[in-house]
Amino acid sequence: MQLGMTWEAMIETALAPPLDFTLPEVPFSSTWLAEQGLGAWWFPDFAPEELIARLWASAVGRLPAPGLPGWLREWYGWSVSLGRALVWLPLPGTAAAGELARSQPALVTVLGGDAEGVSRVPVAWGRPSPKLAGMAGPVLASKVSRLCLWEGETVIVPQGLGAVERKEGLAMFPLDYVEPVDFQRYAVDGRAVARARATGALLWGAWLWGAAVAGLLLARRRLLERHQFGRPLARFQATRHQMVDLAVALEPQADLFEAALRAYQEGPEDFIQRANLAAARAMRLSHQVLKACALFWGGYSFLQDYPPSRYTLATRIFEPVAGEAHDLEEEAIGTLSRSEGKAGESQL
Amino acid sequence: MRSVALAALKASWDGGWPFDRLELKLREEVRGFVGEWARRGPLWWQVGNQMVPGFYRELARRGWIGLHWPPALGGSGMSRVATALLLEELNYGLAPDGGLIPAVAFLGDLLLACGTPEQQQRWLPRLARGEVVASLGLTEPEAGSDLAAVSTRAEPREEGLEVWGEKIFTGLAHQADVAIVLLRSEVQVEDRHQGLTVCLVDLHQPAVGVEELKTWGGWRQNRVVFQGAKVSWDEVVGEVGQGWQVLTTLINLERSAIARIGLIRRLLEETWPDHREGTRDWLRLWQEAEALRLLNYRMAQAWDLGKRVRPFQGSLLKVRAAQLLDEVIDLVRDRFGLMGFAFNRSPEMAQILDAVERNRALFTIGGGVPAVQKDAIAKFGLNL
Repeated sequence: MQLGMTWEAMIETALAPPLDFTLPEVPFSSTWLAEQGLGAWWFPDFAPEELIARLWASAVGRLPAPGLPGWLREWYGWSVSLGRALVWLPLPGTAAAGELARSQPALVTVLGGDAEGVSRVPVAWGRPSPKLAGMAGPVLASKVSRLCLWEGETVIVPQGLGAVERKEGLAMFPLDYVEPVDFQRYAVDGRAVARARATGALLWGAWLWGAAVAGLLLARRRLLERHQFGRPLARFQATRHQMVDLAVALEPQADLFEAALRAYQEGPEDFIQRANLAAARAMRLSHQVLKACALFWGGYSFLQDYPPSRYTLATRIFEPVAGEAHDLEEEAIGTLSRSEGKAGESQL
Repeated sequence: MRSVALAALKASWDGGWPFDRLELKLREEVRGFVGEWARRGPLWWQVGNQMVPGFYRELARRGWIGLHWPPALGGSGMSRVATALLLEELNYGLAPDGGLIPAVAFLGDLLLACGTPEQQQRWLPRLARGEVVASLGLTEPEAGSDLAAVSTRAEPREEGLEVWGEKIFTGLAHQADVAIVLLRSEVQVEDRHQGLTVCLVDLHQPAVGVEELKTWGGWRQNRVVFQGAKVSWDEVVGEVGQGWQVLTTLINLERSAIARIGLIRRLLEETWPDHREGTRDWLRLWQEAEALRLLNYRMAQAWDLGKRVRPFQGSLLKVRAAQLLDEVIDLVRDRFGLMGFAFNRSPEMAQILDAVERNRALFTIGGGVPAVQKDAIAKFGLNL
C-alpha cells in the first residue's frame, strides 16, 4: 500500500483497479508449478501480486469473485497447506472445479452466503449441517464449529471433513466420495514443497493482514460512534494510543510481502524465509488487532455476531490453514539451524 | 561474525529492496570506510552525537554530506534512499556520525524545502564541503513537546531580528557554527501557532552563550542562552510569523532521519542466541527490524518521488523505531544481565551496550516524545 494514505483510502485503493501494488514481475508460472508437482491444478498466468491485492480486498469485505478477471474467476481458489502439499481449490461450479472433481476428489469446498450477504453456517467437523444445502459460494470449515460467512467467501474444509453441496449445476461430493490425498505424490523435493508452502502462507498472510486492517477500521468507526462518560471513546487518549500502536504495526506489513515477492528472484531460500516470516507476522498481528477490537466493543464482543467477529473467526480458521505462525517461525528457525550445521528441527 | 546462520540471514536481508547499482556501490564503500575507521576510532558510543572533526572531514571529502542534494548545490545528486543507506551503515558500524543528520536532514533539507534560492546557495555547498556544522534549537526549559509554547523572543530591528531567551538540549551547539532556532516573534496572537519564526542564528557571536549538560550516558548536551543575538533578515527561513509551517516540515524531516535502523540491527546481531532457545523471540525482533528498514526506505523513496509526506508519517516511523530500539535494548539486558554490561564477550562490547542502555531515554525522546507523536498519528493519520 502506498505511503501517505489514510486507512480508508488504502482500502478504496485496494478495491478499485488499477491496483496499487506495483511489484516486479515474479516468475511464477505453470512450469514452475509443474516442477513443484502442482501443475495440474494451476492456472496459466498466475500473478501473485494481483492475487494478494485481491485477497486483501476480499479480506476487507468486498466479495471476491465479481471483481476478479475471467481467468482468475475461473480458477479462483485458495492455497491450503495440509501436511506437506500446497493445494489450490478452484471456485465451485466452474469448469476448473469439474476438472478437479474428476481428477482429484481431495479436498472439499462447501459454501455459504445468502441474499443479505452474511449468514452463519454451522459446520461441524465432518458433519456439515443440512443448512448448507442450497447455499452457493465457497466455504470452509475447520476446528471452529461455527462460521460467519460473507457471500462468496471461500472456506476450505480439510479432507474428509466436509462436502460440496449441489446447487444449480455445482458438483456435489458426498462425504463418502472423498478420498484421502496422497501427499507423497507432490512431495517431490523438500525445498520445492517448502517454497510452495511459503507461497501459500504468503497469500494467506495477506488475507489475514487485510482482515486485521478491516478490523481496525471497524474499531475506528466504533470509537467515533460509541459515547461513554459523555464523549466518544475516540477522545480517550489510552484508546487512541492503542489504535495508533496497532496501525503503526500494520503499516509496514505490505513492505514485508513485497520484499518476499522480490526475493523470489533471488533464490528459494530467501523467498521461503521471507514469506514464512512475513506471514507469521501478519498472523500474530491479526490476533493482536482483533483482540484489541474485541475490547473496543466491550460487552458486545461476548456475542456471536458483533461486527469484527467475522474477522476474528476467519483468522482462527485461516491461520491453521496457512500453517500457524508458530510453525512458520519454527520452519525459519529450522532453516537457520541447518545452515549452522546443527540438527535442524524443521517441519520438513 | 560468529555464526554461519547469522551471516546467511544478514546476506539475505541486505536485499528486499530494489536498490540501484549506485546505491549498492555506495553501501559497499560505506562499509569499507566504516570498517577501516573502526580500527582508528573514536566510535559513536564514545562520543555520542558529537561531531568528530576527522570523521566529518572524511564524510565531506567523499561527498556523503548532502548525498541527495542536487550537484549544483554541492550535493552528489543521489537518492534519499542512498542517504538512508548511508545513515544505516554508519549506525551499524557505530561510526561517529555526529553532525551529519543536523547538516543534512535539518539544515540542508529544510532549506531545500523552505529556503530561498539565495539561502540554498549560501548554505548547502558549504555544508556539503563540511565547512559548516549545524545544530537544532527547538526545545526550551518550558517548551518540550509543546513547541508552540516557545518563549525565546525575536525582536524586530532595522537590520534584522534580535534574539532573547534560552534553548535546551541542543546537542551540537558547542561545536556548531549555526543553529536553526524557533522563536516567538509576536506575543499577542489569537492562535499560539501564529507569530512564530524560524531563523538561522550564528553561534559565534558574543551574545550567544553555550553551557554543557551531561547525559546519563556521558554524552554532551547543551543549554544555549541568547542575549540579544543578531540575525539578519536573509537568515529567516520562510516568512516572519509563519514559523509553524516551516517547523512542521523540519520535524518531519527530522523524524524521517532518526530511525537508527543500523543500531537496531547491530544490537540484534550482538545478541544472536547461541542456543536454539530464544531464537524465536530474536527472530521476531529481527523481522520487526526488517519491517522498519523497509518502511524507512519507502519513506525516503516517497520524498524522492516528490510525494507529499505528511507529518504523521514521519511520526509513524519515529514511534515504531523508538519502540523497537527499546525492545531490543530490553533484549540486550535480558540476555546479558546487568552484570553482562561489565563482563561481556569483549570489554569494548560491554561499553557499547552500557552506553546504549544508559542513553535509551535519549533515543526514545529525541525527535519528540512518543505519546505526542501518537496523538498526531491518531488525529491526522486515523482521523480519530
